[in-house]
Amino acid sequence: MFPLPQKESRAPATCLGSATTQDVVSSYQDGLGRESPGKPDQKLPGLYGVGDPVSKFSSDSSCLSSRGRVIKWFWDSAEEGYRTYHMDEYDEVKNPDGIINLGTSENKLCFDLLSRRLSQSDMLRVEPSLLQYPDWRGHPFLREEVAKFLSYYCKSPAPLKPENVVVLNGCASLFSALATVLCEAGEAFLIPTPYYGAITQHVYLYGNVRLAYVYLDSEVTGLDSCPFQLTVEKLELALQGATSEGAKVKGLILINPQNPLGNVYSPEELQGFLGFAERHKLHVIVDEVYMLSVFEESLGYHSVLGLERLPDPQRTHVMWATSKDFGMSGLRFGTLYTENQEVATAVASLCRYHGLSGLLQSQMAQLLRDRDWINQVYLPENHSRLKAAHTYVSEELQALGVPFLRGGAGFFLWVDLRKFLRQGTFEEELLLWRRLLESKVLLSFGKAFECKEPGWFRLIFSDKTHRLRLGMQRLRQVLESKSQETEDVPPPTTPRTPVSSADEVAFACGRRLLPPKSSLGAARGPVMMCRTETL
Amino acid sequence: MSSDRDQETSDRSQGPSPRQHDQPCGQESDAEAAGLSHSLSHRGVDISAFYNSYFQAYEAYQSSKFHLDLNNLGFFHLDVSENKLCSDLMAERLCQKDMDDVEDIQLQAPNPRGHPFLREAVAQFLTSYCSAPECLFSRNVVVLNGCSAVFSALSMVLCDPGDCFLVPTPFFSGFIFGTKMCTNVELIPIHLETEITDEDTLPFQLTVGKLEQALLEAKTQCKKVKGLLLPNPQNATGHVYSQESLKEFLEFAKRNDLHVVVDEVYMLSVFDDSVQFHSVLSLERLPDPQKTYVIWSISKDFGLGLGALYTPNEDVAFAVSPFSYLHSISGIVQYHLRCLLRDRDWIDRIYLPAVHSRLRTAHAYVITTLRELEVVHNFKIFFHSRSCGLYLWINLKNLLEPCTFEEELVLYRRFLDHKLILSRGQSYLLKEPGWFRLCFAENPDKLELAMLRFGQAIAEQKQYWIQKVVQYIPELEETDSSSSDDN
Repeated sequence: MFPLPQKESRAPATCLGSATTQDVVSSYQDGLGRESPGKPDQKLPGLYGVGDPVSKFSSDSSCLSSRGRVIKWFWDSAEEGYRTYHMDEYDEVKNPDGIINLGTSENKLCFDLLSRRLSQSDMLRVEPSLLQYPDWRGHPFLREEVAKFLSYYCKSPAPLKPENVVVLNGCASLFSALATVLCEAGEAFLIPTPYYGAITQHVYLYGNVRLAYVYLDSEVTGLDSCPFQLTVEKLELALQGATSEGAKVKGLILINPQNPLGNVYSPEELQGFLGFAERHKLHVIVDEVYMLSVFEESLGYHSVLGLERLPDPQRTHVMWATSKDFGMSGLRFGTLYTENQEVATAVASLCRYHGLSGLLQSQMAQLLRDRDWINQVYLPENHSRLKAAHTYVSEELQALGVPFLRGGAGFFLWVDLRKFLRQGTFEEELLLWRRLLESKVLLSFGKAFECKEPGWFRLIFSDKTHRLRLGMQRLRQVLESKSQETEDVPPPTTPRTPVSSADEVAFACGRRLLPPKSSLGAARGPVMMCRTETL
Repeated sequence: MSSDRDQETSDRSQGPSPRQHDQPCGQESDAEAAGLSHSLSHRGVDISAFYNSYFQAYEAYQSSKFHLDLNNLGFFHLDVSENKLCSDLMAERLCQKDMDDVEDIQLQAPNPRGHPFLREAVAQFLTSYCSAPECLFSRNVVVLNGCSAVFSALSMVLCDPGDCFLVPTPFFSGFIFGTKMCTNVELIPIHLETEITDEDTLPFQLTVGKLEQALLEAKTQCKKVKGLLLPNPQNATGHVYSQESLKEFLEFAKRNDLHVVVDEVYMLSVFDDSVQFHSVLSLERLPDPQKTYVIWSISKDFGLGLGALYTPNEDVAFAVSPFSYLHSISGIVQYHLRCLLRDRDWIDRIYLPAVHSRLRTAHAYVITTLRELEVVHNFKIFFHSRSCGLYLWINLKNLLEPCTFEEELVLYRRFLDHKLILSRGQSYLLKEPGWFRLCFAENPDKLELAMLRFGQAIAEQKQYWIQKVVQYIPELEETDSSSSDDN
């Protein structure tokens, strides 16, 4: 959700040496002097990297401790865009020249439905017992509802158990708690990039855990591949690479549906990744927070909890929250499902810091229980609005000649603005981002997602039409003037990252619908927009 | 801290005790298997083990809560200090019309530090109730989901791993759980208790002298003390500090370049109208505003999870912001809180008077019961009945023979056998055995039943004590309790 920029950007660095296993706080001084090479590692070009969240930190004096200064600096850089936005928010009446936020991944399309539901009388019942210190794992009535809910929507082969459920105030807390109980300070989780950048902070703040990146790129290498495709081979290589640099990798984080790509993993892929983790005795944390936001049914979403058999159930931990699927990121409610009682207990031990008020627990249980409203009112309407907004923005992008991943899940489009950069560098990416912000439209730039290639941006479309329209208009203005500049300026001396022919095809194909499930094996094509469902 | 570990080991080494069959399965084995786990990291194992040993009683309570109709054998929890007395009023208020509104803002991505509308309400509330000389600003306020969260976040940004905070006893050693496990900050107790010699002994008195001494001792052990946590009112006796005393403590901190975190969580629980509470924020001038932080919590007063931090140091307020995602309060709850805090009328005319009156009654009832038990069982209970806070610390040393922590634990377990959970002094890092903490902010019916059970436990303990004494001094048939101070 927040961009994670450094003030000057460079190509993704493979941060080496002493920083990898030591406490990051004590190693920040390494970061001061170290220059990122700007070149991928010789042996395994650009396939992995070990993150050092504070490599660009520079100290300043204040009342804060050393780690306090690091935290503050980190926060300062991460929130720049959002601070700017909050000081000048668009409002059609009060501030029509304000900034349109197409950067925060939030579903603004269904507040009306949600407000109405949450204002109903069953939500307003307050019993005195709810006001007292709650059971830290979460009230049993809520955990039962969560178990039933997940059993139903994840299509689990067997009913899920309430004792395997832990509830906390959001997925951020879950990441933090899992990092703390699964890893020692300085250890790492593998994560494919691009990924939702806020996770870096979530695992680092208390957990002091870093991320080891599995770099994916947009190049399409074969008939069966898609841009930014994760494979077991890439995981193996990245694990090998990270380990060779001294990183102690304890787990793998998978986000499914993917943020920012908007795509989903097939059951075969999931089995493959879980099998990889099992072979290396890694924990797998699966973030399924967009599970009910798959508005393109043909994508065919599968939850990990819906698989017939998990390779390593004791090391598989699934998280979900209401923040995205129910458009209420302000409500702060997240759940963890794991068969591993040790992990559940350890996470629950930290619940007192991440607790939920009894009132909210009661409301959430009511909401999750209301299958009728969810299936007949909310989901159909939500999906239809998301689809419409997605279509609108896709068409605008096509008209602009901007390639993008079609996605079909979540609230975002992963957009390729590489050709609008004078040079294929992160500095240029940041300049474009700033230019857009100055033109009053906020997007998220790719570096915040640790994308290997400069020039990718995440654009949120889950907003009301009038805001989207204005946002796209402003985007168009900037891109058109950038195109003009690019034409006027002589060709850059450093070659830009080659753009595959598939990219050019992407927008021209438009919205190609997938073949129905019955015709398996239909041609998938090289287009970066499709994911064929195979059963 | 070694005393905590001792307690932990002694708890486990006692062998099967009557309470164990009440606990959820698997807890003992978690603690036993503390050294080994295929899933958890070492600190993960420590977290589970720590939690289990410190919160076992709480878990037992959760698994079998007392409900008048359903579970007459359930546990009474006179331990965790929460105010159950006015949940009915609060529940009623929360059902009123203004609470119905669910606006978009409540559902939207949280504003770090808390929604401006809530921070503004907190700033105004504190300006009023702390009698601040000037208006407090919302930019100096951060709201998180509880006071532990606030202290945790503060520890992260004010301290480096291994740094220390001085904290006057009694303080709950479970507090160490959070600071050690999550923030790696050491809490050094400032032992305040003096030996109880007679009824007039004022226990738990904080003086600058004791602060100086504690700091000196810490330094000689090469500890890096970064700050001082100061509960105001004093959390054991409910003693309300004068403005002069507060100034002295703050001056001490300034002299020694320490951060001062003032915990004013019980600020609204002064139920004796003749006693005037002074907040640190009421001082005309803070000696070192850039290192002064006030924590206030609504969980105690209103039963909803909010921890507010107020500090003139905007740098620190800013640095604490990232923790707001991890310790966030739901937008809906923030909205409810804002409505509550702004409803001065309801707070001043309905809620606080009711709270204070019910606390007074409950407090008086407990005191009376204790005095009666003294007479019936012929022994002296020491306590200081200050008119503030939700609980009472009582000293039952006269029922311990010998007066040791082992015997204190025996009595603690006896209370548990009578389905009563009290806190005991050793878990609050007290050096002198015999202290128990009793939270009286409970509804009258339940309180009466709880005190009945308390009386039964005391009666049993008295018999047990007699046997012990007779064992040592066989020629005496019964010893007069007033001469029992023979440890």
